[in-house]
Amino acid sequence: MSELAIERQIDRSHMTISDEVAIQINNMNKWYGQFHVLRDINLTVQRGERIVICGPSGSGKSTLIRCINRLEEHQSGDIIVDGTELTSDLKNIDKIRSEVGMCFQHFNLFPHLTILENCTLAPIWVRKVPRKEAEDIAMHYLEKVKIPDQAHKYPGMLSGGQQQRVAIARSLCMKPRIMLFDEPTSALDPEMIKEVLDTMIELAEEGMTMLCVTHEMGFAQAVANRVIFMDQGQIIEQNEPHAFFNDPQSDRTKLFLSQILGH
Amino acid sequence: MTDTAQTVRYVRETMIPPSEPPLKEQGAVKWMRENLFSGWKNTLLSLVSIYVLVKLLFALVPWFWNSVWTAGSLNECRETLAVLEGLTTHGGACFAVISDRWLQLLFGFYPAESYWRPILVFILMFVALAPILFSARLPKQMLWFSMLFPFLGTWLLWGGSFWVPILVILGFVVGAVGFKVGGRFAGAFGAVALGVAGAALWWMVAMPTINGALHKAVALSRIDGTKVELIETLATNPAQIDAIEAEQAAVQEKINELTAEKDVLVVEMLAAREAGTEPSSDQKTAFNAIMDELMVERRHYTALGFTAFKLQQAISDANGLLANIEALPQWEADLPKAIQTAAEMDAALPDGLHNLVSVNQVPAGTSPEAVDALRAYLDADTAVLNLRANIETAYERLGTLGLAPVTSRDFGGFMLAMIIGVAGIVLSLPLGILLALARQANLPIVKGFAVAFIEIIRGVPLIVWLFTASLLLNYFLPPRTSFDLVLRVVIMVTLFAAAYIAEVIRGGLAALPKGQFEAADSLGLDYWKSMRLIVLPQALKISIPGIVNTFIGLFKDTTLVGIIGLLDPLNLSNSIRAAAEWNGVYWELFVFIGLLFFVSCFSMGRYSLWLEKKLQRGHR
Amino acid sequence: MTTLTDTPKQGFRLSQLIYDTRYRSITIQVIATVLIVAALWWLARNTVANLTALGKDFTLEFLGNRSGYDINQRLIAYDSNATHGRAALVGILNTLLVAGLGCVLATILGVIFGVLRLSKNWIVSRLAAVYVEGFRNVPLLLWIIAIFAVMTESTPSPRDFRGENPVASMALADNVAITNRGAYIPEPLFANGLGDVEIKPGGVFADLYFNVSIDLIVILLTLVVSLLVVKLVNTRAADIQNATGVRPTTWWVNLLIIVAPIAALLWGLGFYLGKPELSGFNFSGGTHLRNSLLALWLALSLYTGAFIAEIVRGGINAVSKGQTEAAFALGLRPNRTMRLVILPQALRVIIPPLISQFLNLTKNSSLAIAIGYMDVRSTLGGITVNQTGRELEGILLVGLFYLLLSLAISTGMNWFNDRVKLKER
Ligand SMILES: Nc1ncnc2c1ncn2[C@@H]1O[C@H](COP(=O)(O)OP(=O)(O)O)[C@@H](O)[C@H]1O
Ligand SMILES: [Mg+2]
Repeated sequence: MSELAIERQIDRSHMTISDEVAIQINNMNKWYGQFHVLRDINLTVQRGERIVICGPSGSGKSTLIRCINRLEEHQSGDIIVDGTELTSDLKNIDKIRSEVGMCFQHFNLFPHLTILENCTLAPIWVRKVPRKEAEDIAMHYLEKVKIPDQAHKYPGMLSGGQQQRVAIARSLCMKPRIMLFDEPTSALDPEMIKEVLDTMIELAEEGMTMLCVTHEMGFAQAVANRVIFMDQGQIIEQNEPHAFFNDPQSDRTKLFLSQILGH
Repeated sequence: MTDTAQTVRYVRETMIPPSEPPLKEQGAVKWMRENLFSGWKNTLLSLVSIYVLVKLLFALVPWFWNSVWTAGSLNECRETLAVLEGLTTHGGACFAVISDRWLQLLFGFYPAESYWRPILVFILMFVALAPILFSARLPKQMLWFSMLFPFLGTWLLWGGSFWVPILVILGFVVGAVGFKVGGRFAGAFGAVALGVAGAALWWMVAMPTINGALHKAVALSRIDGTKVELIETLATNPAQIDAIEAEQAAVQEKINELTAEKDVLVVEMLAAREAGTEPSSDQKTAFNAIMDELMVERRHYTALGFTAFKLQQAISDANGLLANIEALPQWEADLPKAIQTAAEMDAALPDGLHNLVSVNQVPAGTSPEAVDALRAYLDADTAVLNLRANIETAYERLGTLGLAPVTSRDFGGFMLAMIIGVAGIVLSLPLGILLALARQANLPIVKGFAVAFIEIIRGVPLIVWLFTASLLLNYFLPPRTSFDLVLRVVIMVTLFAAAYIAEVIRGGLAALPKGQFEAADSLGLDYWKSMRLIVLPQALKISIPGIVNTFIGLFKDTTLVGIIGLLDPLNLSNSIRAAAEWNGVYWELFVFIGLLFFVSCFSMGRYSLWLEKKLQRGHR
Repeated sequence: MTTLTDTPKQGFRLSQLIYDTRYRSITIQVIATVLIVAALWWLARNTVANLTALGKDFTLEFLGNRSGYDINQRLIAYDSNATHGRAALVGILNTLLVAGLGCVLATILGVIFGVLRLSKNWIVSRLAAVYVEGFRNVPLLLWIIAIFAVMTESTPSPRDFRGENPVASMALADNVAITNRGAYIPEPLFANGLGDVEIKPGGVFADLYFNVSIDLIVILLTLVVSLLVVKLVNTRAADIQNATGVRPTTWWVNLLIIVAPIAALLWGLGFYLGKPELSGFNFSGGTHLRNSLLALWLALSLYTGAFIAEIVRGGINAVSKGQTEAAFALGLRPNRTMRLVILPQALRVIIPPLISQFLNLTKNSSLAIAIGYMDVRSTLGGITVNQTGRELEGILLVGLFYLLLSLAISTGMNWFNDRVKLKER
């Protein structure tokens, strides 16, 4: 996979990890029919943590983070997000979904709405923010991801990197406390990956709690405070990035790293 | 290039001028060689096709070329053909029937003085469609007019007081308010329940009451003036009718003279043909002139007859209305008494006989006296209903403020086909969307109902459904409800189209990427919001070509309503043929009707094809 | 294996019926069921009230009563003394007859014109387009009536065939007479035929009696056996091809296997054609194809054929050009390319919509009423209903017939689709 060097200096002044628990997952299991995708997942995420999840394809990374906002339903164990337990109660689900932002591999922007409308839709209909205010918020975040001038275009007119940045802005407009990223750069051409990573780094610098499924190891080394390696539905190993890359413990992690870093 | 090392650098400095290809590779000759005569198989095919084409043209062109457009009857057509061209009946078309009856084929028996209403509706329909079909280029505010159009159109077509459509729209407002209020206090289910209940209450209880009250108020406010006008009409119209009839007699005289003149000419010209000489051009010109004049006079005659008929109708209307005005006080006085009598008789009935609508319904073993009592009560009840209906219609006739009402019996021709087709599609859209969503839903029972409905509707031919509408619908509704055949057909066609539309929209839903649903979920939108804001706008857009194709099918199928007695174009062509003067005209009517259908269906089909291509390009 | 640990911690609350994803779907379905059942119950109650008010009941007994009307077009024995049930059966067979004939002719027309429309020959493809667009964009009812009018208006009456100098004469070497009452064509007859077997069920099915010609059964059996043998020969040929790489020529063997037994059988049965002959003011002998049948058949076939042509064209277009080029590049000749590469793929696209066109054709055959062809809607749903006043029962039965037919056909289609899909993987 690509190893984009992160050249810029990272401002770590706001990257503080508090004692407050943002996500707590206990003994979580999930099956697709007979297929046991996630096995006994235990994970605690502190507020302000930046976690990178990696692992071979099909290991259940996407499924894990999609369980956190109930795009997939887990069958046993607990998931507690921001103190709210994810049960089959619709009200809790709605609450958690509006607190947790998500970016997809294929952006999933709404093609029939302009960029601005994409960003204001959820604040207006879910948070009940007045339109004017919602537009101000949207413009603020669009400026932040550096595409305010595209606000009135449709997603189809933008490049992939721009679309992914809009998708990030769209999630941010809901003022989420946690952001989930599912391979946000793997559908992009190399020259566009950097602009998306820059946006994500800025987000990290502001102290956002982030869970990223990504194979951008440069990003993991520069920004993450913890890297998690998953295989066959289990968390095999987790460590802070320096130790993870330089001194992997498990054989599977070593094999994976040797393949991905191309030694 | 065998060895790169030896390649010499070379740059061309002068361009070779373009040269003509050999002669046989050029222009029409080349085109024909490539497209028609490449290989013996192709040549053979071409020759056969050309033969077929020439045959067809030889059969059809003279028929159109020699067609007669001015004649008052099929016989005159034949006469004209015989004397002018020396042709037999099938030598030329008799399109005179079209120039005589085309308005009827378009509008049925819709009153001529109100033709502007359907025409206006037709034009407004395009205004209402524009923001849906060309959504990108037009302001979204125009959608408000699209939403208003069904009510406006219905009112323009059927006429009646101007407040009726407003009252109907208010029902939706009431429903929306109920939805909001219910949603605040009892969640989604409360919202739907209160919304539906509010709207239903409004339409079934409040609206008739308000409507009746408004009609009564208007009627009472102008009853004296109306009376004077009606008496005036009764006084003056007979004299006017006499005058018109006198004028008609004069015109008839003229027509007779012209006909006699023409007959003489025809005999002369036919004699000439018999003798083997072509009639002189003077004769032909004279003949044409007489025919033209004859047509003018005939039209004049018909117009006069029409005016006289209208005046006559005004007299009988006035008589009826005056009688109503006379009787109204009596009816209003009788009503409370009648109600009381009926109530008393009802109270006196033995148990188990209440709520019956016919003596046939009495349980076995009821005593004859009880049956008689029931019969008497039913009569009294009918009397009450009749009184109510009389009073209501009287006030409605006296108090209508708006457009003259037109009954659906007079609707016909392409107008009727359009109305049934458009109403069917427009009304079926909401139902079709619901069915498609139900069929996609993760709810086995709901899904089962949707599938059953769709399959039952699609498995049975439309004609059987139409017979159901005309013969059976009255069985399924509460006793004593009955309504107009056009409305019944529209209801049936709506249910029919909904099943097909549901399948089209299901295709649209299936074509949406799953990521759209997930993105909507991850933003915290609930089911209905994500459907309304994200899924349906996109799915419907993809479905427009399919919806247009369904409309084309439905529009063609509207010809079937003729079989249950409505005046569709084909049925009208039968009634035109039933008139003595056009007995025996087939092809001209078929060609005209077929052409109208072809032009509209073909152009709609092209539009849907174009849209499909555009959507394919827009969708990466 | 699914363990639900996130059961409510504080017991069941009523609001969970709406806000809990596990109960919500059940709640919605219960409400929907209640509403729909209530609506159906309301309709049923109205119907019962209306029926009793009219002094009617709901029964199918009328099917056993004498019908008292004639049906001129029939495939089985019937006269006005037969029952309404028998009349319905005659109608059903007539519907199936015209639908079956229509499907065959429509497919032939559709394939021919679909392929012609793709032709590189400009004039041919234009003519095919005119046919397709012309028939697709004009109501079927108009075509039915127009074609019927051509047949009755512009053909000679049987009387015109009489006399010294007849105005009209028979076509195809005096074998076929086309008149305004329909076409008279030769009928197959057997000099030493084997006669008929009478099939006569009892009880409720008493109306289902009919005769079957033993000759026909024997001929069909022979055909089936021949086809089985042909299949055997082809399998062997394929085996030889697989083993040696050379496919033995089999077409003449196949032809022989099919033709020879049938020819021998026909000769043995004394097969000959009974020609229609003029007797009095009408033709006798031969098979009489009524104009109503012919017009309906032609109109349905031409109309549906136009739609099928579009399907065929779309199916062939859907197989990408790359497939043809790949096949050519492999050295397959155009014919083989068509048979081995294009057709198998195109068929997968073509067959499902084709079957739904067959369904449409079958349903459209109910337009027979416009020209007096006695299909099931005209007998059971028409004259019987008018004579007995049983419109509810009659129309219900007709609807049920079409519904069952449609379901049967679409079940077959789904089965086919599944089979084709399996091959894909
Ligand atoms: N909806 C589904 N139904 C059945 N199996 C699925 C579904 N989604 C994913 N899977 C399977 O679950 C496993 C984990 O998938 P995923 O979480 O997408 O892996 P990753 O994101 O790590 O590549 C894969 O083997 C995949 O095939
Ligand atoms: Mg994944």
